Amino acid sequence: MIDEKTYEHIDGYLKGTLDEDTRNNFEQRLQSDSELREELEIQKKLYEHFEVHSEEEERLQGVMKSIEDAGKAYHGLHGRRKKLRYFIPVAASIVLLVGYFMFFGSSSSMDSLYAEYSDWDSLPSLTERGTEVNTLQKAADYFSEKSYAEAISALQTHLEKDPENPLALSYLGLSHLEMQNYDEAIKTFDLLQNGTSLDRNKALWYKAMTYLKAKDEANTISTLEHLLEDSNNYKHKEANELLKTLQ
Amino acid sequence: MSAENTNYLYNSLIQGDRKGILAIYKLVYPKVQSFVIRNSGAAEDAEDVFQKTLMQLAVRFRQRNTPFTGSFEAYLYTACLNQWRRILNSEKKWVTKQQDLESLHEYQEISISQTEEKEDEEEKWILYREMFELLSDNCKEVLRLLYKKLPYAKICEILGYSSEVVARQRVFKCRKKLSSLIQKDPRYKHIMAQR
Repeated sequence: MIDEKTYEHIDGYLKGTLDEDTRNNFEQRLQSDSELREELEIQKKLYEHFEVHSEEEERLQGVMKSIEDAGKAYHGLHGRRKKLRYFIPVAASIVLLVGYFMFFGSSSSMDSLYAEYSDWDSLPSLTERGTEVNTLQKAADYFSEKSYAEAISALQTHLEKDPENPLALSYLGLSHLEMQNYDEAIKTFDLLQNGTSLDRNKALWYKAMTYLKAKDEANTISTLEHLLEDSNNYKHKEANELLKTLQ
Repeated sequence: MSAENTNYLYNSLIQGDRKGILAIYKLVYPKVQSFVIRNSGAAEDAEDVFQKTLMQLAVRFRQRNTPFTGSFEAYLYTACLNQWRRILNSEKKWVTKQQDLESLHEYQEISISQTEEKEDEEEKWILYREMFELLSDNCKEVLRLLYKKLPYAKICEILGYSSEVVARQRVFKCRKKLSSLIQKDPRYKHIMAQR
């Protein structure tokens, strides 16, 4: 039985941080314990993979998501939609909010709608994304501190080296949006939308949020309608509710 | 199927192009479903087999990084059949009809010539990677951080755990779960037995 202590020894052994006595004991145990040998081999491979291939792993995650999405789209089209495996509490709370608006807030302004729908806390964390950590992390910190001007300059520096980075583009567009540079925000989201990353399906939602904040009702509606054409687009459900509220 | 189309489908799969993957579904899924249903399965089984196989091939092709030759359609179909056969074997209810055996033979040659190389290591990693996908989202997140060698203090910070004790417990549960998924899979025993 591999217990928590044993995992600590495995970690220490693989990282080379065990003291000599502990390491000798561990190696001795390895010779007689085949279960431990197997576990060590599994853990070793996992460490190697995630450390060495973090970028490949990130891309692979995107591919897996596309396969799931395509499957959902295909089976959806053929009349039998697989039951949704991942329940998204955020989506549920937004639906509740929309319900609340429909009952109590029929005259809700575009301002309050923007406040309710723009939820940038749920942006993907930059800290998990391998080599980009140092350069992008600073920008993300500025963003969460609402220091948007600093965020913008950090992101622009990053994008010079890595012009299609979808996260950097997302943060840049959203910083412009929060600074009310609406034209710049739309331009940035266009770049995101025309890129090849998986995050391109978020661009329409970001653009809709931009038009909403700019109180451009016509463009908000047409962007939402565009977003709704593909049920796999980001925030499809919310877009549908928001559109109904606006119309 | 033209070589151009094969390239398109192959590239769509390895790059995660949703439109292209949808085209793969349209082209191959109906045949896989009818095979699975003829061989003691249900439509849900076919959906799982198909998705699992696509994921497996995405890992495999990306890892190998060599251009694809031959028919993508036939390759995927065969891989799905093998996958379903493996599941039935593990549940000991594989009953083959003569007709299916024949079609299987026809396709197997393609598949063997392209999968032999690096089989052992590759199959092992594919197995690990597939089992990883079966974990909860939270476990996946925790383990990614662990295996990138982030210190526990940092893991706490990123995931908002109140203490390192909490993080350690979570890590322990998740890696235990992953190991047991890997070791319970019949392919694992097979790989270990081949040594």
